Amino acid sequence: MLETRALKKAYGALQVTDSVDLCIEEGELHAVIGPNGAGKTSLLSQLAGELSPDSGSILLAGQDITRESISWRCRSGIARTYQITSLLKSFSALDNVRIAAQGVNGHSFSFLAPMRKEKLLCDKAEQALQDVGLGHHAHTPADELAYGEQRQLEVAMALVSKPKVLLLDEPTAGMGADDSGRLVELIRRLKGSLTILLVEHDMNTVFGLADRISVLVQGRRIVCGSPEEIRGNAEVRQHYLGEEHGHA
Amino acid sequence: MTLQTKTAPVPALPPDSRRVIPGTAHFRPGLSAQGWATLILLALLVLLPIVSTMLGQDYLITQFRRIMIFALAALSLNLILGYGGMACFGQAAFFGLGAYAVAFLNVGASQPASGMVAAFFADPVVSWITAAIAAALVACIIAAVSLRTKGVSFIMITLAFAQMLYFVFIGLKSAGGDDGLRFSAQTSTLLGIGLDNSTTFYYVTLGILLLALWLTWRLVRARFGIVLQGIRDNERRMRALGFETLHYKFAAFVLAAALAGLAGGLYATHESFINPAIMHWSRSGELIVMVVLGGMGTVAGPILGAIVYLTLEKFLPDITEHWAVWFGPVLVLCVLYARKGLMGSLPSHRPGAPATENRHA
Repeated sequence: MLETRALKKAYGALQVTDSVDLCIEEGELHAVIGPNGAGKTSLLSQLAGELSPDSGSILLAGQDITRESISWRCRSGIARTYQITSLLKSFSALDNVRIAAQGVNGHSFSFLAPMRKEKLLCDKAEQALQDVGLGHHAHTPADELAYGEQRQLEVAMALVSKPKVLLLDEPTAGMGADDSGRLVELIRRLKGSLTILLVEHDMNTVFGLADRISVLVQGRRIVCGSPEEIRGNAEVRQHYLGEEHGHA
Repeated sequence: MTLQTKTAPVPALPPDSRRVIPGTAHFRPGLSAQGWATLILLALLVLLPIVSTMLGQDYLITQFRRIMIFALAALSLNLILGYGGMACFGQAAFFGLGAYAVAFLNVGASQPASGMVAAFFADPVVSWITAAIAAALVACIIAAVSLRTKGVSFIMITLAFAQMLYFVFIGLKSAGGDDGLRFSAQTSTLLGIGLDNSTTFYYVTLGILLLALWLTWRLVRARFGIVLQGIRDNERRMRALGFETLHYKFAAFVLAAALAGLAGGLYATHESFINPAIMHWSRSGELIVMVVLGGMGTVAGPILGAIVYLTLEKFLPDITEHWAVWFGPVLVLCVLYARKGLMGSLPSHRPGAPATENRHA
């Protein structure tokens, strides 16, 4: 479904993405893990179209999309959430989701008809808010939502566009146990109905959810396999899992 | 907390006391304080000619016609500055272009050899439309270059373009250069309305202002306006949501320029005289002051801002010669403490409802 071939990106001497070949199957939940600074978010940004790679290519369902803009990719079915919450702060939660639905629903050169009365957009947006458990905060301004709720809103905005591919950048980071448990439950429910790429630090989440896991270290993908294979991989233990346990 | 199921009903009101922004979900009839203020303002504008005639203060009609023309220009700037977050420091250039367009058409029609076509284009309504189109065309070029920049660079580039046009018209001998053009504006319109009657012209101007106000009001609630406000909040995110933000900014910029050009056209007919000073950067600055004073991103704020600013500019000099010394600090205080402007400081939600209007619409 989503594929990268020899993807490279460098900031000066720092190689953030180093010849990454990634192949995410349709309907798969693919997790990307790696130590801090391994280039996980950079990789995700290149897939989403926010960052353009130095070389290599990105394919969506076999079609080369390396040079397509982020807005084009969104309309073609790639949605992402942000590690650092990025919302329309003065908009209500509902308006945030509504405009996300509008973004993939035809053009917006409509000058007179009230957008908030478009039934299709409202229904979709209200449904997406319900799905993430934010229905009761529909009319709260985004910047007054609690942190965890803002992350839920991020997910609702990604889901409302009915994406083919969902890129989740540390969706549970900084969330309380309740909220993150709820979000993990939501992701589990979505699993199978769309292709998901998950960047996540919490190992329990990753190993509990992922079909396959890719491990990034210093921009290179050192290994890719099922959770069992990754758990048993000596190189991964040395580079990453051991380190993580050491901190914990 | 447990995961809500798809069938869970939406509670009518949020369970906690956090402020709410309205959507269409809880519609209640009634008007917000801002709505009332707008209505009162418009009622006063409608009644002004009648009252001033009764009081024998006929000059007020001309005075307020001029104010309404600048209010229209401020309204156009608010569209991109207030709703789109584009701090254009060259709106007076579009105003000036419209004014010069109408002036040229009138001068052309007054030549001895001019024919039917020239007379047609000098008709006030036709010349105003031409003014709007002329400003829009130039705006296309300016937008194509300046919209690639953001923040301070955008301010500087729009300022640079405006100053360039200003100097072009100073150098243009056929337009009278520095001295400008005096002409006799054609006053009979195709529609059979004679603008030579001061009161009639006043109501025509008011009508156009109301139309622009209505357009703004609809626009900021329509898809296009919502996108514009989204871009103001977080352009990067809007791109990630599938919007080609540049296209929307471009359209808004050109639309605002067309409205400013229309205002300029009205101004030329109103004054029967124009000079490059109307395009000077300080004029662009004044328009920004009107928008900020009245309330950026409020529909009718710029009208209030224009009235307050131009009235103060008119009457303060009677009190003290150094009025600008006093007026400056008042503006600074206004920007510091009444950030939403006069109109924006009034509540935008309707009584009884948690809120029914988006707080920035």
